[in-house]
Amino acid sequence: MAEVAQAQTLHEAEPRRAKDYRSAVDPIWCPGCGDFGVLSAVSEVFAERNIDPDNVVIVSGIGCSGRFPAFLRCYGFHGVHGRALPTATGVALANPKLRVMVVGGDGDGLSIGAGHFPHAARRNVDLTYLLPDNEIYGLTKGQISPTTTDLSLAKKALSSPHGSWEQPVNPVGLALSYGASFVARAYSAQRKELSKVIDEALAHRGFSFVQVVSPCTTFYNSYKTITPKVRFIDDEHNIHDRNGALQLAYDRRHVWLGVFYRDPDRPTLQDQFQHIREVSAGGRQRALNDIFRQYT
Amino acid sequence: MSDFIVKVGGEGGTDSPTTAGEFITLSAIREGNSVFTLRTLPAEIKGGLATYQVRVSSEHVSSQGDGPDVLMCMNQESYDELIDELDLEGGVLVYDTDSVQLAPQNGADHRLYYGVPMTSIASDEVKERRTKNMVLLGVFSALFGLGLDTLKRCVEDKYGRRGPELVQLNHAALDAGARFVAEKLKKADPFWFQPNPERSGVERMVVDGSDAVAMGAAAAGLQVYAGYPITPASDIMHWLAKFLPQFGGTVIQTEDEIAALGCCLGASFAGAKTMSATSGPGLSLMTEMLGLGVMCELPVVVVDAQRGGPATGLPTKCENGDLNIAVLGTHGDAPRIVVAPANIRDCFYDTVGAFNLAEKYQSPVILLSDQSMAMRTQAMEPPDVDTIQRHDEHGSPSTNNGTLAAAMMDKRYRKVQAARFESGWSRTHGPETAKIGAIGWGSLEGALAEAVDRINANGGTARMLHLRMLAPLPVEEIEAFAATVDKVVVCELNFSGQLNHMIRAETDVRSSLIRKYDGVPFTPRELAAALQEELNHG
Ligand SMILES: Cc1ncc(C[n+]2csc(CCOP(=O)(O)OP(=O)(O)O)c2C)c(N)n1
Ligand code: SF4
Ligand SMILES: [Mg+2]
Repeated sequence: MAEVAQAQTLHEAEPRRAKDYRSAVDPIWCPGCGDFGVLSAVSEVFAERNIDPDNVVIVSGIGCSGRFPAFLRCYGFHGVHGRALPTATGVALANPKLRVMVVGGDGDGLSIGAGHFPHAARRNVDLTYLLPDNEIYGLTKGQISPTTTDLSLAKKALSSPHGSWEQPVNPVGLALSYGASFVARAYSAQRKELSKVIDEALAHRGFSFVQVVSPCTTFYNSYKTITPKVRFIDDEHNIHDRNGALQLAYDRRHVWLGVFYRDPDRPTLQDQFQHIREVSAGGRQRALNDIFRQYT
Repeated sequence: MSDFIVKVGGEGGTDSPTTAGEFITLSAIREGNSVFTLRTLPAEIKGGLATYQVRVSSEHVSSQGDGPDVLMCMNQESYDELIDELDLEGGVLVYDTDSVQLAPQNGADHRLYYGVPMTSIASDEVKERRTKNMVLLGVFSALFGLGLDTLKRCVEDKYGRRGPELVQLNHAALDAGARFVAEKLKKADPFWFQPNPERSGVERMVVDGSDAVAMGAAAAGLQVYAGYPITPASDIMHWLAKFLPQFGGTVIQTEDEIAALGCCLGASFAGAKTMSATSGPGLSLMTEMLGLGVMCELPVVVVDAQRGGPATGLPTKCENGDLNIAVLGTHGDAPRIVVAPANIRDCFYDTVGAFNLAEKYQSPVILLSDQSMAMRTQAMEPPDVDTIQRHDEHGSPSTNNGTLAAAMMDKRYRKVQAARFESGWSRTHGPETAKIGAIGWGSLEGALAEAVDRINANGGTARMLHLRMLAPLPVEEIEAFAATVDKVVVCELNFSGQLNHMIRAETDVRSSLIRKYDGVPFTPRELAAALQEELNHG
């Protein structure tokens, strides 16, 4: 008890500020890149909730957006391209007390790593998955991605000089059909809404998915086409109605922002799994001896 | 001393030859024998030909031996498929006269034939068709001297829980089989069991390679297992899914092998002991993750139960062709530790060893087992966890702070190279010096040791070095071994001689190669002939 009380006074004495969550490394993103907004929003929400950075692990994909962990003061794991979700699932299995966040781009999560998204969603791993979606491969300098909708915006699109016939996928639509228990969309240019959505995602118990529309000023500057289409989801939408949420997700005329769907009652991976614990050598020997008998 | 091989074949679903084989194995163990078994399951999901081969010896055996001495056929298909494996001189066939039509015998056939109406004894005398395998066991007991009482006690232990009627029924079938032999057959073969009371109760566990690996992992303190199903590695996951919670651990079946190793690395990063088991195709998918594990210096054990490759290849056959990918697979320079157990006991202890190496060197460790070890059983003493040395310190993950890449690379190589001076990762066999020195790795050790013994018994001189750590390569040890022999041959179950290449590249030794790559393990006879050939002409 004494320890808890002391910890609380410490927190009261020094509430953490957003900049306390930022590391010494300065982002190397291009001026105007949407990812700046995402980074600021995350550190603000962490500060508002006074989250203990020692309990946070950010696992990221590879891409401009995947650089995230380097700029934040908490545990970070910058792994390989497309595999952030399974890596984060391992972290969650090893220590269910950790707050796990995954950050990876549209190429990372919906192209090379697309096979992992449905499984993390249906397992309801208790983590927050931020997908900064710039509809392009930023880090590799401007090839089309699975979410590219308007090739005329692509500055280079070296990989598709003759255009593309491929239909873009809809990240929110996918998350809804994969059974994610929390699905939202935000926009890096709408900072207040972005922080609010990230805050709600962090509060959700279960797999919370946030597509953050986050334009790439260098290779796919979509601010001008997106901003006029933005609409905010209001109370009229029933947040527990997956079909209604799908209709909003596939609305061609508007880009709806806010929480599309939430199911707070589904058991999470962390609830379901036997939590790992230390067993003494004696305990292991006893368990083994019982099992050995079945082999004689 | 007695030492012979029995093979039972029949229809998987109705004849249950595997159950018969398991009872022979268990009873033989209880009478103090050593066993080495191989089973084949039908390709069909239900029914089809199943076989169970067991070598029983009053002394320790370490290989499956050459071919069956006694073949027991419960249906026509087993006779048609298996009869050619039986030696024309002195092989013994026991067959069900109700269901097997023998082919016309030719003059070269000097086998011994014992016909028994197994189906009608079961159906008419015992009044239960399904006891046919017990009738066979009764026949076996009376013909070859395996104790009927021992068999009966095994039946009680295994079926007792299901009620006295079942036990009585099976006992009646055993008696009926034995009675038939006493009344109708005259023994004319030399095969006869010798109980070895001194050894009885010593090697009292019968385990296959998959379960032994899983038990070793549990004993070592595995906490998070992540895997994707693949033959012949899935049994490891099945065992762990059932038992690991008792050891404080948890098992997740992931969507693919990339996710499996990703999950392990994430869990290792968060401080858990982790493992994944796969076969060649899965290891191929894991290679990028493997490099990540090396770079981040994360302890993790990856088991590769090797099968025939490349691609889907020969999924139910045996090959030791994954040494290259285990040692070198992934882009960039990524030193890691590779070990290879050579028998079932090793599968347990080397898995524990692999966890210890992973912790000590903060590195991925690959453990190469293979299909033949996954599908065979051997007897072993129940391991004692207290005597297993463990390293409990948790590795702190490396920070991503841009330290000079060259310095990090130097460190990783230096660190892992030190593992080659770890003791106990090799075994030698044979005289101190010899004309020919064989180097082996993987599951062929037992067959190679028997081949070496045969060479020495026939006036040649041979010795062997069996390596269980392959990366880093124990260069000094290999060179020292080479100095004790006139000629070195490397024996491998793959086409290109992957270890042979590594030895020629990294040591001064100019070795030659004995290889096999048809999906079937070496027999002692084949290895002895190849070594003799090297002795004669090399
Ligand atoms: C296996 C593999 N293939 C390709 C790459 C090269 N690569 C790095 S990032 C990237 C795509 C980045 O796009 P996205 O995920 O949308 O992130 P962004 O840079 O747009 O934030 C690619 C193809 C890689 N690192 N690894
Ligand atoms: S290339 Fe695009 S996504 Fe990458 S930092 Fe620059 S603006 Fe951002
Ligand atoms: Mg992108």
